[in-house]
Amino acid sequence: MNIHRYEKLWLVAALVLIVGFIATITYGSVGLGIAMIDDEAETVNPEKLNEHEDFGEPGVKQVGENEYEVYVRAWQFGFDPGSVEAGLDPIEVPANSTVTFYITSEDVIHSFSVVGTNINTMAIPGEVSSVTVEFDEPGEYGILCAEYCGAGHHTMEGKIIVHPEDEYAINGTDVETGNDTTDETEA
Amino acid sequence: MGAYIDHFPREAKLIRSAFYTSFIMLALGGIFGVIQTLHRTDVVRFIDSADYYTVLTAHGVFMVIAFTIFFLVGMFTWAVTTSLERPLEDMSFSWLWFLMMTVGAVITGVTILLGFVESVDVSADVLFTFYAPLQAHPLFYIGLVLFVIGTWLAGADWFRSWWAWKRENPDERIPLPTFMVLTTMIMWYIATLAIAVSILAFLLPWSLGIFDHVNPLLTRTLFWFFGHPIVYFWLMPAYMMWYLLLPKFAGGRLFSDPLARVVFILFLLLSTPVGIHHQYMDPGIAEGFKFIVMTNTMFLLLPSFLTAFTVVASIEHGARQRGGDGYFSWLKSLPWREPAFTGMALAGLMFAAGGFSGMINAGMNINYLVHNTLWVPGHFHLTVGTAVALSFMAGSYWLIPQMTGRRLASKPIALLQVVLWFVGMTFMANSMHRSGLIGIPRRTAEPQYQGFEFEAALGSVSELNAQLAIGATLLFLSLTLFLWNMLITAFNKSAESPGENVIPTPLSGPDDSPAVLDNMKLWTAIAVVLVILAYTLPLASIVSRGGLLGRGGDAFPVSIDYLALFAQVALESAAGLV
Amino acid sequence: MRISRSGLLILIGILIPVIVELRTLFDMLGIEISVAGTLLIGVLAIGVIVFWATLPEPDDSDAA
Repeated sequence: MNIHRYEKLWLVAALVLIVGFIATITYGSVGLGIAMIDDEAETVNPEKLNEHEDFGEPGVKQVGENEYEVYVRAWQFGFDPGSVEAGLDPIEVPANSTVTFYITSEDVIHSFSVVGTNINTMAIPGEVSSVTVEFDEPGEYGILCAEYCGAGHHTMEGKIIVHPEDEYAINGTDVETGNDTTDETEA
Repeated sequence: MGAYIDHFPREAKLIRSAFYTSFIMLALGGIFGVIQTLHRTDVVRFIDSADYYTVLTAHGVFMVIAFTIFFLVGMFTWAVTTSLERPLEDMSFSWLWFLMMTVGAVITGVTILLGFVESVDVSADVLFTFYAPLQAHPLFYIGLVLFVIGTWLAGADWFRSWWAWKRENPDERIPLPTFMVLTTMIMWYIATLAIAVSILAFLLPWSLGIFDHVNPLLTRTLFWFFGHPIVYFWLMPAYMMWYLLLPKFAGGRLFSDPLARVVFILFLLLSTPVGIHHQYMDPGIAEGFKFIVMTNTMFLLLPSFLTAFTVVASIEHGARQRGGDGYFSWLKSLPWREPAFTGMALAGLMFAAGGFSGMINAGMNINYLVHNTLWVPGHFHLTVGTAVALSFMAGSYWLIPQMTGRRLASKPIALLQVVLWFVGMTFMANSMHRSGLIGIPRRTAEPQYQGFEFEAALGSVSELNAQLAIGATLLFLSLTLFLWNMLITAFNKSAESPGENVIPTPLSGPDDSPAVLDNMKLWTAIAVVLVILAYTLPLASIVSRGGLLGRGGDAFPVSIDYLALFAQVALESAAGLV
Repeated sequence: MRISRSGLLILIGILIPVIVELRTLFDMLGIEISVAGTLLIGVLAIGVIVFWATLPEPDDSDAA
């Protein structure tokens, strides 16, 4: 098989480019620590989420000094917590915190995508997506469902509010009580 | 010598039927495409937003299942018969598979369109990916099954031709066009196995009410097992045109037969064990599997890079045969007046751009930024929407006269059409990519939210929307010109010789390529091993985590006991007959 | 005509993505061009090409 000299050069250049791409992705994973959504979280029964230890009362939980866990249930067509439009609380966390989101779905496949960030994961019934992020600055973020989930898909949205650290303590208690009251709103 | 129809009048009729069916599907898909763009950009909204998803399902299924694959079966039949220089073995068998595909497409298509009729409780608003627990009417799945079995039989038909030819020519190399068909079909058999399992073992019984649940991650993974190779199934006929026809139109010959074979083998081997790259953002699949798939995907760039070289080299050779010279001025000697040539060249150019956005998608951690945003449709409107669709339309300007013996109605309009598609897609793809980067989602009727707004990096969101709408309008106009040209050609009375149906022999012929390249059994075995390696562990893990049939979660829309319904309908109609 | 009519059509066709992407490129360099500005550049560029194309052939040209 004779291959033209230029074609050999091209082949080598293409291979270098491919290996280069793989190297940058590997750097992103290992060097920058951008972890992929994986199979670490335990599965859940989508029909018995109300009985689940964490998803039974979804919301924000403080687990360390600057560490929070947020359990979110996606449903047709909203996020609990998150969907202010549906009368639920927004997700509220303080700035300079490390937040781990645990997201699952009650019904069909949804997504939990936070606009303007790289928080973007599928919410699959039975599976739990876990995403750990750091919120450096106070601000507001929109959440949307980017996976078609039924006729009202385009109305499915929510909100994350990142409070300044010193103002969060008050809001923090609000979140706690808020959770207790919103528990049944979706039923 | 002469046109294809002079040699193979019976086959020409079959191929014509396949092409015309694909054009009807293209017309339907195009209408839904433009409605959908104008709706989501809020330019013209005359449908209900809930119906948007019926429109979107129809656009997807008509375009990427029906249009592409009907065209493919016509194209592959042309390639096999032309290169083996023998007619199909049994025309009634060939019509059988064509009929089966048509019946399947009609059943699925009608089921989707019934979503618009509120008085009938039949719908399939599940999009082209039909992820459970979204559920379609059983007829949607039944139609798909018939369609896919039709393509299996079509493949068997081409294999049959090859086996018959091999008995008569035991020592000859497989002609390149047939080689391309066979490798592509082996890939298709491997890929469709997953969708057959997904539909027959899970989705269809579930939609009939036999099971209460399915495992959504399992059926989703099986979909992408099939869903990635299908993109190469669309692409391979376009590649075939670039390898076989484009050098001919340019006035030359293919640069290298052996490398063309290597490219098709690489696609056979690598296109299936990469499907999980559509699931980088899925829970329940370990990061390690995602990493392996990412590297496989990156290596899949290789055959496309090789193709770029071979095709450009062949075109340059053609231009030099036509008297072109210089480093770049040979470009002027190419037959730009020919819509078939120009269309394919422009399609190839856009494919290069689509390839680059594909590399972003393939990068698993960069994918966080673009996954399920409008960036992704931007990418595949360059690949399947232009590299494939524009090549098919351009190829039709040569193929349809070959199949009908009639002159192309208007060459200047054909030329305008291909350029218009290129321009329209420029606007559309640019807007989609940029919208995706700022987080605007795909697959949504109204990407306008109450609680927040998207911030355009350049210009404004309304500007991006306007650009998208202009692009879609130009594309629709281009599509109309194409269909009009085809319609007039089909009824053209002027019977002018459409030129010889000859594929020129490559500069570096099959004798230069090692015989092992033609060993179909070997490549099939390697492809199967790679698929087993890539999928056994992820699938086992998904099943052990979520169960074979899932652990709950209702079907949506709420499933109806169709078996009882069917029985009732059958009884009533039987009573009516009596 | 210095170029065939089909050649001119294709040249303009290929120019359009260049103009559209130029705007994106300039934005990355920190130079923002408005839609009207892009349109103007486009019309000018196409105008120049059409003007050039319609110039009479130079005598030493061997083009058909």
